[in-house]
Amino acid sequence: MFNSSKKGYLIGTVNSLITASIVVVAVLIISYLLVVSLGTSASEETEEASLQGQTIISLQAYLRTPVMVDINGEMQSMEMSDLIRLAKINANYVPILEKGTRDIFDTVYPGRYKIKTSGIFTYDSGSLTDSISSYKVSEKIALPGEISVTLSLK
Amino acid sequence: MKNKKAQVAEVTLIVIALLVSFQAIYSTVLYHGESASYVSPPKETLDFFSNLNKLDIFNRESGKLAISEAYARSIAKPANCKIIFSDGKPISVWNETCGPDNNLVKEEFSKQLSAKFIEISSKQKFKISLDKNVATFEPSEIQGKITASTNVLKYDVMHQLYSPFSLAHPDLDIKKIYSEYMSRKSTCTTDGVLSENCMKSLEVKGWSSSLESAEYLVFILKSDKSYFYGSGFQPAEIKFALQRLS
Repeated sequence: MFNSSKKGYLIGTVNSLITASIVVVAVLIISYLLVVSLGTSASEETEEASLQGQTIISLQAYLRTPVMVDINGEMQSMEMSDLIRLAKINANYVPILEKGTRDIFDTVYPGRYKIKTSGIFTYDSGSLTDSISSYKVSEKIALPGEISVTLSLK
Repeated sequence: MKNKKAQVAEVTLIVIALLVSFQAIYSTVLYHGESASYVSPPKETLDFFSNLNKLDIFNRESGKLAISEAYARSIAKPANCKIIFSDGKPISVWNETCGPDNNLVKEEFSKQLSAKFIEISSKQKFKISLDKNVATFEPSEIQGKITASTNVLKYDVMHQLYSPFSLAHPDLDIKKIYSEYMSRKSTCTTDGVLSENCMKSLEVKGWSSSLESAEYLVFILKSDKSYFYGSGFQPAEIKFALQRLS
């Protein structure tokens, strides 16, 4: 059907086209993988950085939240950080502290926070929704008198 | 001839495809670098500012505690009047010519506040000033420095290590209480004798009182509000005595 020189010409062209196609497809696959991996890591870094800042600001706002507490029959206004200190001195105030804390964080981070106040109480909202709680960021703030508050978010 | 032309076309196609692909990869990498350094600063910078925030919270809490302690101690300090002892503790005897001095109370408060703040926060890098029931904490410490780098540049951040803050403190006007007691004393004294029952009925806003009776009437005023001092959370106290017989 074809003479030998024409056949050689066609085989050469086909080989070149196949090689070119393979190279182009390989480059496109590599590009796609790079875009996916770099894009994902960038968004994860961004999310983590944003969450870290959010955690500190949330803790700061939480500690300054005003609360009314019944002290020997007298309603007294104080900040959450004072209530933590009070609960450390007098365990009778731990339930009030725990309820106040959950009221605040359940509204802002429902089901995705864990809070721990050293030696006073720990509450993990994530344990209600997940069997394994994995928190992305965790920030600890020290207060005078060997008290610390740790907030973890996911 | 045709074969050569075809080969040139193929090679050109491959080169163009490669150029386009590499441009795409280059742009992606460049964008990632830019976005990461813009949206997400280097970790050391984030940690630095995060630690500054934590320090600010700790300092403010230390200031609150120091105010609480200093207030309870400064108002409890007996005035520079005649002193009697009740249960081994000194109590000043207030009369028409001698009573608490607001300036001395403020001076004592200021002294106690500085000492307590240093003790609680373990820092001496703040200058504390008082004005109209507000204590201002000004950092005297210089700056902190952090060196950070992104994909494209390296930079130094200079930042004040501690932020200034102000906190309200309770009223130090003890003279007001003194005036109320002196005014009541003059109406409760008949034939040179101070009536215990008459004095008992005096109510001072923000304070509740109890009375120990002997040669002197010893008044113990407890604030309605509680404060953190000593090792507890309790009302502040002012103790003073009035002489029964004038």
